[in-house]
Parts: sequence; C-alpha cells; structure tokens
Amino acid sequence: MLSFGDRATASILVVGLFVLATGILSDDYFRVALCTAMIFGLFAASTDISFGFGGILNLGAALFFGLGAYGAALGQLGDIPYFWTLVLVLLVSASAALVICWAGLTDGRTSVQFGLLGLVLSLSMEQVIISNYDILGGSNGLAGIKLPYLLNYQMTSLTYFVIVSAVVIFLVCLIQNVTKSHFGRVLILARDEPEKAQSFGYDVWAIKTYAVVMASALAALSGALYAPLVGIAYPGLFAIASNMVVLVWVIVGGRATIVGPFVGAVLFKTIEFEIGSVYSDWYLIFLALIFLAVVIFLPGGLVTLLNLNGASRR
Amino acid sequence: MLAATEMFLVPMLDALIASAIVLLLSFGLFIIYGLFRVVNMAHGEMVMLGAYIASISQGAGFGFTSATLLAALFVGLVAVFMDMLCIGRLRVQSPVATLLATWGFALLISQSVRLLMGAGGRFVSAPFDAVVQVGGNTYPVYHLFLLVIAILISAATWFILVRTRLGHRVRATAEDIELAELSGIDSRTIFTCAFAIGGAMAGAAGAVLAPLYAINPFVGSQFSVLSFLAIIAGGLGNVFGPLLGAGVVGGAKSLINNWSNITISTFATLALVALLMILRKRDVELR
Repeated sequence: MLSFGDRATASILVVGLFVLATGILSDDYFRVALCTAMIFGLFAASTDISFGFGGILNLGAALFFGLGAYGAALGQLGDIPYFWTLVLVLLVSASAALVICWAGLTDGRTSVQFGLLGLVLSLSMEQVIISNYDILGGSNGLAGIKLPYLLNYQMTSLTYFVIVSAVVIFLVCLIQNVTKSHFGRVLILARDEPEKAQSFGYDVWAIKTYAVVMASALAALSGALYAPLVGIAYPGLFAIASNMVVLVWVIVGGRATIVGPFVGAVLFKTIEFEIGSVYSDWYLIFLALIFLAVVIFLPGGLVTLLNLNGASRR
Repeated sequence: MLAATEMFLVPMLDALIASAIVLLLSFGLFIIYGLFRVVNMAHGEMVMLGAYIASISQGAGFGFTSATLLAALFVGLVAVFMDMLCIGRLRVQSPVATLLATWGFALLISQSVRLLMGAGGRFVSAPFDAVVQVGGNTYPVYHLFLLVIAILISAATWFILVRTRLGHRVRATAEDIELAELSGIDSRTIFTCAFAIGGAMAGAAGAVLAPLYAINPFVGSQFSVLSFLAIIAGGLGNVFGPLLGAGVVGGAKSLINNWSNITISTFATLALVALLMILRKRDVELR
C-alpha cells in the first residue's frame, strides 16, 4: 500500500510534469503565466514548511520573495553572474532570517508578534524602496531585467521555463521528503507539543529557526527566479496583498501538506491569469471570499476533499 | 529664549501630536487585540472605512460631529456583522483562524471600497482651518484639537475600564473567561460589545483623522501597521499600554525624524519596538 508521502510526491510530480508539458506546447504568452505559477508554487510550498509544519505564523512571507527579486535585479545591474547572484541571495536571506528569528522567535506556541514582525518588516522594506529612487528605483522598481545566461547561452523563454520547472519540481519533492523525514516529525512535535519536544531533549527554538531559515531561503530563491521572468522587481512585491495571497494559497490548498499549497498556488495563479485580465476588479474579492469560506468551513483546506488520509495538520 | 523654543518646544509639540494620532488609531485595536487577544487584521481597513463614511456623509451635507458619529455607528455595525458571521465562533475554536478570517475581511473591505468608490484618493476637509503660531511654526488648530480628543478618549476608556461595571465585566472576561462565566457574566455578549466598541472607535478615528491623510482604499495597511506596532510596543492588557505605545511609535519616531530622515527614523522605531518586545519577553501565544 502506498503511504501518504509517496502519494503526495507522486501528485507533485504529476501536476508539475503536466504543467511542464502544457508549457512546452503552448505559446510564449501562456508559458510565462505557467512559469510564474510554478515559481509561486515553490514559494507557497516553502511557506508551508514554516507555517504549516512549524506552526510559525509569518504574515510577512513575501519579504523574502521580494528580497530575492531585488537581489536578482541588483545582481544583473551589477554584472554578477546569475549563479553567484543566486548563491548570494540564498546566503543573505538565510542570515537575515536567522537575525529575525533571534530577535522575535519564541520556543512556545504560535506567536502573533513574530507574525506581525514579518509583516511590519515587509511593509517597511516597501517604504524604504519607494523612498530610495537612486539605488532601488523607487516606486517604479528596477525594470529591464533580462533572462539570465546559461554558460554564455542567452536563455529563451522556453529554456528558462523548462529549467525553472525542473528546479521547482525537484525542490518541492525535496521539501515534501524533508517534511516526512526525522526533522519533519520533530518539527511537527515542536509545533503541537513544544513542552514534550523540550523534555525529549530537542531545542525547540533551534528546530523552528531551521524551518524559518529554510522557508525564507527558498522564498528568496523563488523571488530570484521571478524577477528575470517578468523583467522587473517592484516595491509592490512587499505590499500587504503579496503577503496575503501566499497565505491564501497555503490555507486554501491545505496547511502542512506541501502538495496542497503547491497545487493551490499553481491553480490560483493560472486562474488569475485566465480570468484576471477580464475581471481583474473582482479577482481579489473572489479570492477573499474563497479564503473566508475555507477558513470558516474547511479548516483543513481543499486537500481534505481529496481524502489523502494520514495528513497531519492542526 | 526663541532658540530654546525652537530646539525644544516645537519638536516636543510635533511629537505630542504624532503620539495623539497613533493613540487615536490604536485604541480600537487595543480593546480587541490588547484585551481579548483577537488579532483583528481588519483594524486598519475599519479605520479606512470610517474615513470614507465621514467623507461621504460630509459630502451629503452632514456636519463634522454627525459625520464622525455616523462613521462610528457604521463601522461598529460592520464589526458586529463580522462577529456574528465568524469571529465569535472561530475565537473559541482556533485563534489563528480568527486572525486569518479578519485578514480575509480586510481584503474584502479594501477591495469592495475600491470597486464602489474607485481607487483614487479622497480628501476630507477639517472642520476648522485656523492656525496658531508656536515658536515660529504655524500649527493648524485642528492638530491641537486632535491632541485634546486623544486625551479625552484615553481618559474615557480608562474610566470605563477601571471604574464602571461594564469595564469590570470586560476586564474579567478578558482575564479569565471561565471564572467570568462562573460569576454570571455572559462572555459571548461582552465580547460582541467589546468588538463593536473597538470597531466604532476605529471608525471614529478614521473620521477624525481623515483630514490628515489622502484617503484611498489601500491606506488601511498603513493604519494597521502603526496601530499594531503601538500595541506591541505598549504591551497588552495594561490600560496604560496604548499611551506608551503611541509615545514610542508616534512621539519617538517624530523626534528622531527631526534629526535624521524617514528611513533612519523608521528603522530606529522598529529597533525600539523590538527592544521593548525583547525586554518584555511576554509574548501572546495562540494554542
């Protein structure tokens, strides 16, 4: 019999490969939308590590996504090779996450103040960028970011899509397996029974910090993949709506399942692309209503409807 | 003498006015979040809604006072509606769910306002535009009026919470819900009352502060951030918390801003709030 872990990994692979195949066959315009959807899928899955499995509320998840995007943009403007830009982005975001955890993360249960700290940092970052026109482009953002080179070969939208999709599918499967590993189980214990975890000799703060650092670094990576695709890094990435939609995907998809947030993000991003251009005024209201309905009536998210039993969540 | 007033009095007055603004903003949140630990992410949007109601009713010919009362009434009713729909129920089940639900409402409110009223900014005129001279600077009398209002509202809230029967019930419910229930207090009604009062205060704050801001559907997040920072800095549950919080987030920021620029003062204020958080180490944890 298949365990849930295998089924979840299989679902990620099926959905990911389906999107990959569709993207290869479709036109440039739709491919960019699908590529965006995949990148946000990785972002949602990474947020699920800290929020779903760690039970650590972070209302400013988009802070690191935005930092990654600005990192990629600044790296290209400063003529740093894309690979080293990514390495720098990962290092900087991981250390920033470490500092934030040191300042605000407690070893108890879900902390509201830590969640708000993230949001405040994200919104302050938005203000700082808007008020720094010279270096950070102000409210216009840093535009004109091109797709990166791969060994002197300028990537096209097709090659970029294939590479990004492969990386996203690999990383999301990896995240899924990490949450099923010993570390994942200890993280769940630290979320549900912090006192018990402590008495088993685990350092709850350190475990939660690992989760936040991992999630933040992956969020920054998705941001760094996003900026070259859309060609711009803009302060709106740090705005309240950006911070909110990722939590919407995680909650609506199903917390602490990885596959739920991943598929949720890919699905919603594609829906947004399809209906967003026609009904853009209504899209966010539609999203808010779905979100409210799921929070009130279906706390486990849409994954519970598929009855993937054995999923652990709170 | 003149140098002394310019060096000292003017920045102090600026800081006092900035504190008064933050105090007005955060009082509604203090009642809901500070006392009842319900993280109302829609607080800023409620303030924004109050500002819109004030602007619309002023356009319809209402005076300043009646427009403010209308805003308080309307936003108070919105709060009761939110409470009836889900907050009251979810609060018992899972506090994280209440937080997320109020965030959903925040998005719903700001997007609905954008759809109905358009995304453009609105300006609300102050009821009086006289100015006074203090130490060579001109101040709108309205700013000084806000200072008086803030003092009156904090005094009234303090009086209601500490001296009246309703206040005792509210604090008892906030502190120990089971004990309050055993003493014959209907905690459900008390919570609905508190949520409605918090909402009404947010609405009134929006109406009173509207002349100071360019009001648009997305200004709510700015209000939310200021008020959450103030509540966190001031501490929860203590009646004097909002005063301290407003002093740090409004006053200290304004003072630092005098000697530096907005980026430095923003980060210095954040550092100060973080320091207060670390010093206090008593965090709100949700089960």
